[in-house]
Amino acid sequence: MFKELFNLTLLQHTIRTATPLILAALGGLLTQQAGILNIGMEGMILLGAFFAVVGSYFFGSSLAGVALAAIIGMVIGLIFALFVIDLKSDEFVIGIAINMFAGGLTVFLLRSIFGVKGAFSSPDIVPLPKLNFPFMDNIEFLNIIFNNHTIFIYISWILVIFIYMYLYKTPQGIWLRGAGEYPDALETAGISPRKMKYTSSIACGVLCGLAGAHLSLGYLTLFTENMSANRGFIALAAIIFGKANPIGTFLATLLFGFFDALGVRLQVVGVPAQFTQMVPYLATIFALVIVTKRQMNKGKKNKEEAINLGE
Amino acid sequence: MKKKLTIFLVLMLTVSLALSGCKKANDVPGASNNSGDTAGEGVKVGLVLAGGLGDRSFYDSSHEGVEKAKKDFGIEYKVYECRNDSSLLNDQVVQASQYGSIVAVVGFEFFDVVQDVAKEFPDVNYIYVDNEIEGMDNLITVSYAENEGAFLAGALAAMLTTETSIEGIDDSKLIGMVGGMDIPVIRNYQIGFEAGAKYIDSEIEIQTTFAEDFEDPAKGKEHATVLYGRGADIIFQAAGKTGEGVFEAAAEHGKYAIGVDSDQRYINPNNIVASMIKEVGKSIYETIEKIQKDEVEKGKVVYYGLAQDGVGMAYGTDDMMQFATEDMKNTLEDIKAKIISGEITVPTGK
Repeated sequence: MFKELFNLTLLQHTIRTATPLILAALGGLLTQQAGILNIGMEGMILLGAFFAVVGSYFFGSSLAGVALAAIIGMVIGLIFALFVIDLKSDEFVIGIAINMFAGGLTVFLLRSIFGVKGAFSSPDIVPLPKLNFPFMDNIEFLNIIFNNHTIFIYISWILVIFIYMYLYKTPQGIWLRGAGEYPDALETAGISPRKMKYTSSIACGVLCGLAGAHLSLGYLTLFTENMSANRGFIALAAIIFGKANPIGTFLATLLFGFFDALGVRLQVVGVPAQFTQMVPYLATIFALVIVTKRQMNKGKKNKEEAINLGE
Repeated sequence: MKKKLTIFLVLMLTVSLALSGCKKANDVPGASNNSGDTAGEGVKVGLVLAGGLGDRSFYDSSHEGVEKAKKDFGIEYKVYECRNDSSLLNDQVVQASQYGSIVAVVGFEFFDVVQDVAKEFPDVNYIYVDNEIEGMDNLITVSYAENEGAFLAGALAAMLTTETSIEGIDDSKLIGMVGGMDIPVIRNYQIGFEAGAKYIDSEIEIQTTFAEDFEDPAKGKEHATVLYGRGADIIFQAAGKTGEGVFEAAAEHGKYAIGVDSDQRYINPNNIVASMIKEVGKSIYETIEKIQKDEVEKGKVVYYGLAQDGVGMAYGTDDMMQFATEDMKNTLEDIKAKIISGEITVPTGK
């Protein structure tokens, strides 16, 4: 039974499930670092998924689909930024507005462009190709886990490192974090926090768009209403969980993916669905408790050290 | 100024959203020139759905029913979708009750709502699909024997899973099912499916998982991938849009699936071998007819099983490759006859 639950396909499943979360969460953590709580990711993913299918269907190329998804993401990111930063509206309200707008617009366009309701699939939607590295074919471990994925999976891993480097090793990254932590200081230094916030918001839109494209062209080859299925919110949870650090967030998304994958397998060996459905959430609560506990201890230690120093 | 602009733009967003959501499937009043039977002319029917049109199975089938009634009896109808938003259930049923003299309510979610609203509108006749309520004069409930239909699906899956002449099928006796949620209706499919498979071959092993979501095809694909990975050749899906992911997984792994509620073969005829159908449309159509003719038994549950052709199997159109051989279809007809005659009793999950 143990072997039935824990095998390589479990990890493969984890990676597949986590990838859209990683892409969206990487975008969301940029806005989070810049001091914007973005709950509009759900809608951005959905729009990305829809327009990826539109692009792929009409231009006959998955690349066109991805490009269209990225452009739409950019536009929505820009709109979000315009409202939140320049018009100073409540980011929460705008986030919800984007989610609702995306839900309504995709349904509307699905009917008016494709003439269908609910779901659209067609052999004319070109999916993203799966990359095959022949040198991995004969090594079971590598083959199952790292081979035959769509390019987004590899891109998401590279992006984790790239965004980490950007945030913590480049001046722009420091500005971006500064825009969130202490915009006045950044202003004094002659950098516009507004510009950094705009950058983060647009980048977030693009990444969420890509997450959607991965969902509708990489992972599935169809669009259904609400197919983002709360992934934007799970990504947000991962960001908060990982304290908006790319590595931490990445691990958090993997954790969510892992428990999701484990849940399905537990059902197969006979655990009731109602229970397996709890697993990801239970795991989250436990992990949060552990993380907070550690933080509290750290805080205590720091305080003690400070007192010791004072003496 | 900026604040005003913000408010204005947000309002625009909201209004445009509301408008896009409002687009009713069929606002055009029914034309009534193509039918000799004018019993229902001018009668208005409100169709209320817990989900939305476009699921290519359950709700779309109910829509076909009223559409057919429009053609044949010249009724007019309007569709009210709740899009799985439970806060809309009550309002939409009330709206429909103000619109029509017959209201068809589709979805188990309406259990409480329909009873409350039916009391408020004693002159409106309600047809409530997918549940059983007795004793209210203006409420007719329609209950389906999903288990009987799924019994046939299970029997077919059991016959196909050892049919090694079909590409991608091995001789292992494992078949699978992906359910949308662990609720009585879906359990009814599951129990029938398992019983049907065991009837053909008692050694068949059936593995069922529940995606706990009717709207997440990615999840459906993962569930199906796990089951195919374990050696299942055929998966029966009863999971709404989540089931679309099951079909995708079947195509990707070169395995097979059985569709549900409507004839879903057209979605992917190379991997969907058949569908278990639930004639939601037919039952609504027939009940509307009965109400017109005043033949309906008030406050009763109408049962639709194999005997009433309320459930059954569909194999797509003739131009599709047929996986189920004539022999298999005959066996299924046999089983069907035996179920109707009572020789086989199908266990129920309701």
